[in-house]
Amino acid sequence: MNASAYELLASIARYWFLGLAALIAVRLILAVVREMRIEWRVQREISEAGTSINATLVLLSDEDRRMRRGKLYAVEGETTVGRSHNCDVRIGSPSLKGTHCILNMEADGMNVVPVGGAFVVVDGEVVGRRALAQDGSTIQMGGLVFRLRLEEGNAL
Amino acid sequence: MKQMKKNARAVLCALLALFTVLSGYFFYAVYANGNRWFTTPYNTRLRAARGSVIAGDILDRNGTVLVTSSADGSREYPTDRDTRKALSHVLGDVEGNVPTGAETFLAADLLGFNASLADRATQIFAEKRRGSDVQLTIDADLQTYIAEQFPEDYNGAVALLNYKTGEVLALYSKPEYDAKHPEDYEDAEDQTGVLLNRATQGRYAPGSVFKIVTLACALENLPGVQDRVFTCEGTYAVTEEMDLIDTDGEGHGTLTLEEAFTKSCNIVFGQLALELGEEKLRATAERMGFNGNFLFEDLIVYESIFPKAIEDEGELAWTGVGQGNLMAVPMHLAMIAGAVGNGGTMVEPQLVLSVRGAAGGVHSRLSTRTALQCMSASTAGIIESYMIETVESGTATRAAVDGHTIAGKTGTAQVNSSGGRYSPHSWYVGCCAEEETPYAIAVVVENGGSGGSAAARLAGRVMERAIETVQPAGR
Amino acid sequence: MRSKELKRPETDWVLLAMTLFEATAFILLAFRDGFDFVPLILAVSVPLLLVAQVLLLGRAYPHMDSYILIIVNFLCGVGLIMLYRLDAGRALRQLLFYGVGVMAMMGMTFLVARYRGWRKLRLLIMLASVAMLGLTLLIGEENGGAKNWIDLGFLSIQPSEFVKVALVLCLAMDLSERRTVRQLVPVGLFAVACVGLIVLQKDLGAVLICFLTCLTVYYVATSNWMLALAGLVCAAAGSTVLYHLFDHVRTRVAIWQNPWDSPQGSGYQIIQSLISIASGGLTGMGLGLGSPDIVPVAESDFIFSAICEEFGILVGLILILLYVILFARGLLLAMRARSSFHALLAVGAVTSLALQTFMIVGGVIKMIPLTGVTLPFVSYGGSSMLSSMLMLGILQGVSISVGEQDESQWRMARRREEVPEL
Repeated sequence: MNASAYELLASIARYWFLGLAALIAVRLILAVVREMRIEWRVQREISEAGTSINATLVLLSDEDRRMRRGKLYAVEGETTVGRSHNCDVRIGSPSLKGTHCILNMEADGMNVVPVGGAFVVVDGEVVGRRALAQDGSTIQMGGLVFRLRLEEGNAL
Repeated sequence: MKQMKKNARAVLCALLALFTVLSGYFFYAVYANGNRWFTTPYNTRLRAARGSVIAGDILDRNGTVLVTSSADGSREYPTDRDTRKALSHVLGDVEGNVPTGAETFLAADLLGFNASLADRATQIFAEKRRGSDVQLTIDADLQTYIAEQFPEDYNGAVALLNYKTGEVLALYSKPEYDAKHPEDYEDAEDQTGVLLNRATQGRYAPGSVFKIVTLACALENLPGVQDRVFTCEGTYAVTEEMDLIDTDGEGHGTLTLEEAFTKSCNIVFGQLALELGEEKLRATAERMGFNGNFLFEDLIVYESIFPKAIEDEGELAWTGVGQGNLMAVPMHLAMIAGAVGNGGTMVEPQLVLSVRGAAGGVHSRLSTRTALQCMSASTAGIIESYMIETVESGTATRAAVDGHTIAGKTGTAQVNSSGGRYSPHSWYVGCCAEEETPYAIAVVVENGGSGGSAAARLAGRVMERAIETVQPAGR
Repeated sequence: MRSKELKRPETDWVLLAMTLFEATAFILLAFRDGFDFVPLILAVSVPLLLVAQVLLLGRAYPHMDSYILIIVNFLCGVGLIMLYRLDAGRALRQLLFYGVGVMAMMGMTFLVARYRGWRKLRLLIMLASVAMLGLTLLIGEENGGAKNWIDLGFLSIQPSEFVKVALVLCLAMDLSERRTVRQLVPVGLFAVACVGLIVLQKDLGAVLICFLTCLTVYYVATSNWMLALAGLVCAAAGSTVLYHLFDHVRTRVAIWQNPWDSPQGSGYQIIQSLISIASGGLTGMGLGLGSPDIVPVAESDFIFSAICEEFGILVGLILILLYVILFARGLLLAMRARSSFHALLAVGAVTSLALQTFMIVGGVIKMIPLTGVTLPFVSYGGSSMLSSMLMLGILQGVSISVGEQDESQWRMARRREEVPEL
């Protein structure tokens, strides 16, 4: 092909490329925004139905006797428990650390991971690195004792 | 997890901000500097294109062909030696010896880098591609006239523009260069001095011409300054070592602000500078474009310099009368004079009238843009009336043009060079205060002697010629 | 399969436009010098690779993030077009890297989404990374002031690229369950060892990316902004030390401040890059009409300038926008994740890619000093392509586990609404 003809072709083509690129950008942004809306809707419906709750901690006793017995705390996916307002489950007991322990769900139960040498007991055994708690296990964190209730119906 | 989500959102915001800044900077940098980068001598694309593309013609505002390409693609400059030399700095050369001439700065058009699709379509069967023709705002006859009239044996520069539209009518720099005989300059002692376009890139002490800026600052910051009466005894001790001296040394006696301006009294303006202070004077100067980085579309104009720090009162007083460490570019001073004539609005200078593509379509490139709003219209009016008075009965009577209202100001710039005492530079800036012929001019004659008479005389002749002969664009 | 109510927005138009873009560009290149049939093969195979991935992977893993997938494949395609225009041989090699990269991406996706035994691999990954970096110092090759290549005879690899992936994995593993400073000593030591070894290799771009990625992941995991800030201050102090210690850092900064001081010497690269970008203007010179090959290493570090010259800065800006969408999708994934391991993986992968993109694009337009890193997915280079694809695999793996979890919970929520409990 003649060099001048190629030049004309290529200089026409740059508008074609620019147009395609602009089309890609616009359609992508629109699609991503709609996708984000759908994701938010799904999240909202899940949290309204409470199906994201994997387990519930039932407060059995409190050494300071400041908490109401039988109070429920929901565990949704990975959950941090502690006194600090950064935690997902915030309990204002002086016997807890800022972030006391991390709870996360596994296929065969709930993993309890104490943070920074915090005092955690699962079914009578002091937890070192991690321990697996089952439905009905008692979990002691600081001066608080809980009973674990797994929501079997809900997926992980 | 709740906290981690918040932190992830913070990271998202930070990234969005980072990339917004990146895109903004990217777009702005290319928009503002693109042509400057493209036309540097280090762009080998231009050199390559010169081999494969027949560059377009360069015409003056009246349609006279100034530069054309011969059949084999080499560039042909005006055959008349005087015309060629008079226009040398405006046109530049293909070698890029004069680095800011039209040949290099407008290369994107001349070599067809910006050619439209229609232009390209006509070139399919051409053996060699042709670039676009560029019509400049320059009036070649006027420019040649300036070269003739410029005092022999003196160097300097002249800038003349239409202060309403921004069209640059003449841009002359001496010593001249000859693009047809570059070998003549190879042995020259000061080669860069020849290649420099003094009108747009030469930095000179402005001398008394700067009193326009001091006056504007005083008018805007000192209410009632017009009605005050000053006394001048010829000298004034600012500090123990530093005296302010008037050129005559005898003193002007009692005088008003207007008289002080028309007689160019250093004592009064030095005192005004002291009264205003460094900050206000700098603010006014910077509003008029000093220390600003000009990014004009058609031409490169170096920035004028108002010192970043003034050491003492003595230097401040001398700065007020245009000495000290001030540096000004002739084109910029012409733009300031134009702003005075244009009610305080400084327009962007334009060098390109239109571009004609290879297919024959003509695209006008003239679009008036405001560069800076320098001062209020009332301040500009007062300064203009003072400058008119200066031409009628003050220091600039030589710049007068019969039958026309001319406003102007002369200047004398002391040059302190280590190589002994030189005669001072002679300055004149001014404008024609008429609707039909809104021309502003700046002239500097290097070592032209004190009093500004050499520059004023030349400016008067050039202005007269411009008023008579320059035709409006788009005829 | 997805239920009807969760029907995702269509990306058919985007896919069509991308396919057309790639195909026409290669067809155009076929006619550049006379006629050449190789680009025609590419014109079919590259779009095919894109569509095949979307169709096959999209079927196999409905929760894969298709936006990220098509953006990345399009970026690879644009890179291939530009590479073919610059150097046909390199483009064909890059096509191979691209194919291998897609495989690596699928493997990584599967591992992140399905594999549960990451903790067992942790030590192995750490040791392998440090060993690779150490080996580079011993037998590495110098390249542009940095000693960061190992030549294996048939191909050279750049270990620092893979260490970035290892770092992201290890950081996410350790930080997801250890939060106190004492517990973080092992991963901290690993990070310091990596950064230190890369400093010794004088590969400053990689140092910055690794260090800032560590800081960001650490901050997101612990919310300890005091320590993160202290880290930043350390980084500033460290850079000043490096500035005085290493000659080529000083040169880089000096070039950035004023490249016009030596336009034919040290400033040549960046000045040619600026000229190249400026030549393109808004709409570009046209594919094959510019001379981006004037810029040294246009095929890797300066490929963004080459794209801007021939496609124009508007297309350049659109590419930046595509990167931003990619990063934003990644971080949205992190915000939806139910486990900190996944969230931190996504944050780490996005931060690393984003910093790399910012540093090289900012570098070639002289916004920040130039650090010789590649533009992810676009630049020529096997190691770079592979490591970027592994990062993409991490994101896709997170997307699959997040998506599956969301969907099953959402289905349950729907069922409860429809069948009220008795």
